[in-house]
Amino acid sequence: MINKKGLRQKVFWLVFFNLFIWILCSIDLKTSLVGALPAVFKVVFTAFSLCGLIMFLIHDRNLLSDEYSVPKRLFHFFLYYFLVGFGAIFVILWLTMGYFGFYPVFIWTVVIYAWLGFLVIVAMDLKPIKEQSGLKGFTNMVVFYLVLCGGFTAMGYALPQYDPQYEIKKLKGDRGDLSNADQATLIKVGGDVFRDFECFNCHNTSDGIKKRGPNLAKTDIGGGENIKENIVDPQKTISKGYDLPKIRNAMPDYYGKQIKPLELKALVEYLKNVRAEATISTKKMPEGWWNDAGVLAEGKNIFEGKMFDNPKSACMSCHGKEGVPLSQKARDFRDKKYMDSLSDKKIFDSVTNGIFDKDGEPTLMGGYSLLLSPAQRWQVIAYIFKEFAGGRKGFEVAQSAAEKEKNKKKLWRPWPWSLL
Amino acid sequence: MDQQNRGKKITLFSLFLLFLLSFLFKGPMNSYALEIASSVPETSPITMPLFGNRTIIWIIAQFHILFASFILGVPLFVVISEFMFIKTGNEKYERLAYDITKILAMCYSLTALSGATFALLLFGLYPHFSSYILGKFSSIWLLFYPFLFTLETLLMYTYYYSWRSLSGNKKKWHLLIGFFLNIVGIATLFAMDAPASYMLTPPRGLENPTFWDNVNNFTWLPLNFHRLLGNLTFGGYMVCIIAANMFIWSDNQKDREYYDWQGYIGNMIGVGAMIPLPIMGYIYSLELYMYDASVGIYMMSDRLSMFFETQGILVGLLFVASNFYFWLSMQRITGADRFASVIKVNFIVIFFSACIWFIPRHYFATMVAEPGMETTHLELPAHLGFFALMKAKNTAAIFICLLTLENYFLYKRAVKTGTVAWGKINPLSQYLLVFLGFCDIWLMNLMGAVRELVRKNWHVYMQVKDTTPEAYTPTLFHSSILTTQITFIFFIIFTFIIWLCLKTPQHQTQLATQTLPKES
Repeated sequence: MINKKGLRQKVFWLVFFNLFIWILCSIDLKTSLVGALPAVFKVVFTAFSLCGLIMFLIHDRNLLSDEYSVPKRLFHFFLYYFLVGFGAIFVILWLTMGYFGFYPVFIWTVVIYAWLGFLVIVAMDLKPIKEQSGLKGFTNMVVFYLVLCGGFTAMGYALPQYDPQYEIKKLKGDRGDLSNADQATLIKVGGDVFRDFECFNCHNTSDGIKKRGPNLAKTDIGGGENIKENIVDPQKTISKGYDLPKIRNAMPDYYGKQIKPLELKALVEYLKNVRAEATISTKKMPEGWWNDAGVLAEGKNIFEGKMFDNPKSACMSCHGKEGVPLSQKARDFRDKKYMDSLSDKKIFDSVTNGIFDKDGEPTLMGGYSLLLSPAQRWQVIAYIFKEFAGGRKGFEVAQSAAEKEKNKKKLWRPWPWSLL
Repeated sequence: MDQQNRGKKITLFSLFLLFLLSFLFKGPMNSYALEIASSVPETSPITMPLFGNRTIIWIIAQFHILFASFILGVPLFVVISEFMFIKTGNEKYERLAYDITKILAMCYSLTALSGATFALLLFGLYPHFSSYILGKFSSIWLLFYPFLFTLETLLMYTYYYSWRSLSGNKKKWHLLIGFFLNIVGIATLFAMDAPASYMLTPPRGLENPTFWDNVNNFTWLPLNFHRLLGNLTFGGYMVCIIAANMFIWSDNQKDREYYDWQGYIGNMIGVGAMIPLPIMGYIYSLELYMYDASVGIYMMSDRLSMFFETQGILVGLLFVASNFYFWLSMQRITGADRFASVIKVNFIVIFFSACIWFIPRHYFATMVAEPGMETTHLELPAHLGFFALMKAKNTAAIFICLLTLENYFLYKRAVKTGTVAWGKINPLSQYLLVFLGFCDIWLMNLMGAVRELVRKNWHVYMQVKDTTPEAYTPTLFHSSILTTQITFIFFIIFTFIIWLCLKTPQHQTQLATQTLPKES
């Protein structure tokens, strides 16, 4: 028999907590520590609490009470708790989290926590254990210590490990004679230096979750001397966007002393190569950039002059922050028809070299080749089109459809969502 | 007679276990050290046989810190208990304070012994580093520390031996001695935190740092507060362990009533101090990030990230076990049924939050995969990456702390408004108390190791390089074996001390005949 009153109270509290968490996690406190969280967090919580409701539905039937014989209690446990309870928890969490693209290992993590929660709820209502005293009590305690020791060691074993041999090799730091090394060797050794000094902790060299420092494949890090200076004396020139008080000193200043000169040379070569591999075209907008959120955000910064020491260099000083020109001679970017008539190359060249009148005389629109890297020029162009011209012709529909398709492919989902 | 025989059996059994464990240490601890001894040049003048230099320092330093934390954390507890006795007149507080002080006196000797051994081994095995750190903090080693330690010893023994003479009207003077004991204890902790924190965050950008610059380094203050609060938690849980052991060994209802109550008090203090502890941890980590972000990242996202995952599991378990103890305690309070529903639902939210706290960015132990590491589908996809970031983690931490606080108040309310049947608690609760203590000590050991390992191959970060064969960062498995063994041996020693101080026939006789402290 279900204790209806008790169940009603629990349902009430579960609903209360759901409302509480949905509201609390929707308030943006404008801090990086707490505040608004994406819907997936709240949905997973609701799924988790639904599992809790199932636990209570099963457990409140009192199926393990003394009124049943021991075999029957075992049967109840197996059927209701194990098959129905554990099974329902697994199905609910798998479907919910799978929909959002969680990989199985993460779904299993949450499922195991929910199962443990279930077991604790069951344990809460178990009959008290027998009283113990004296030597028996002492022995039980020592056995309990041993069980704890086994459990804690097993936990240390079960979590992922790294290879200590790699650590040992790193300490030896033998990279051979680099004084006459060729370019390929330098790049390879530079990659090792990058890894051994854990530069990857803050810098991506390809796509990935955003890290503390700039992505070195996507950011213009300049030539060899510039790269070297940024490693040896990182506080000297800080990239725009990384000069906030919280992170401006994040790059340690001791690598110049720690990395040997030839290793430093190799690292510079490696980083130049990383950048070269991500070479930016000057003829065509890089693939996917027209609608890329990161590119558009950078473009906005450039357009609004946050990249420049002199705010007058900002595009918006003539073209207007909202796209409404502040100067009669400035181009109105909202003129979609005109904007669509321009090729990628033409636009890029205009930003790079500036615009000249029919007589070949420079106009007020100067060139930005010295102020902006090629990538930055494409970023601002993408922003202008997206923000003021309603998107690049042929890309606003086609690209968004392609993007959706791409995202669909990107969002890996487990079975049964993978069938859809 | 039976009791004496039993005592002998227990002593022999404990000694046998200790003997066995000394061999257990040998294998896993030394395997890596031996493995690499041939590949990296040896620079230490002496190599510790069987264990290896780092391992022996690791073990002895951990033992010293455990006993030191006990003698620093527990007096806080004892003085609060004595103060409660003066305020309420409840003699149970007095007995609690006195019993714990007895154990304290014995642990004091072990702290001194382990401290001296630690210092001697450090000088012998790491002479270069030892002379460097001695030079940097000569005023502390030669002046402050001996003075504070002597003063603390005097106060400690005065406090213990004046218990009877300073009773009645003079009780306030006794409390005052206890108060000064704590002040000196805290001053000692702060003094010793200076070199400990300096090793990780020596001042940077100063050409000739002064003594005060070295002391007041980036992480000195956060470490002080983190350790202070941690010691109070530790003190609370150690009292829980004492109560649980004594409850289990008790063979009469009267003792069970008392030790049940003692466990309740220990847990209250332990949980109360543990709730703000994560905040102190955050502040400490934040300072580390401010000092050198690469250190913070190495700790939280790279090679020590799985150590923090372990911490995530254990902190979750600590909170779950504390709340479970509340639940079991409420079963022996009439009129507490009305809180049952909300507590059960709180468990679901706590489990969810503990899970969010644990979820890692990826299921491999380094920031980027090492060659040969399997990474497919082991990293959170970018759109779910926020689950591994502070916003989600803090939200979870806030829920855990708030709901534990809620259960804490519900429990206190139940105690206040209902009738408590002391001694009738489910004995399972005593195992929970031991679990809490074990978890806390294990975690303390592991995080202590993390604080050392985060320096990578430096004795003093960026100042004195560790060129010994064991300068590499060991794996989590290796560290957890060591941590478990240290914790187990500490438990065995501590259980023996509890038995010796509180359960021996002499103590029982004394308890029966003495007038002070009385059992209520």
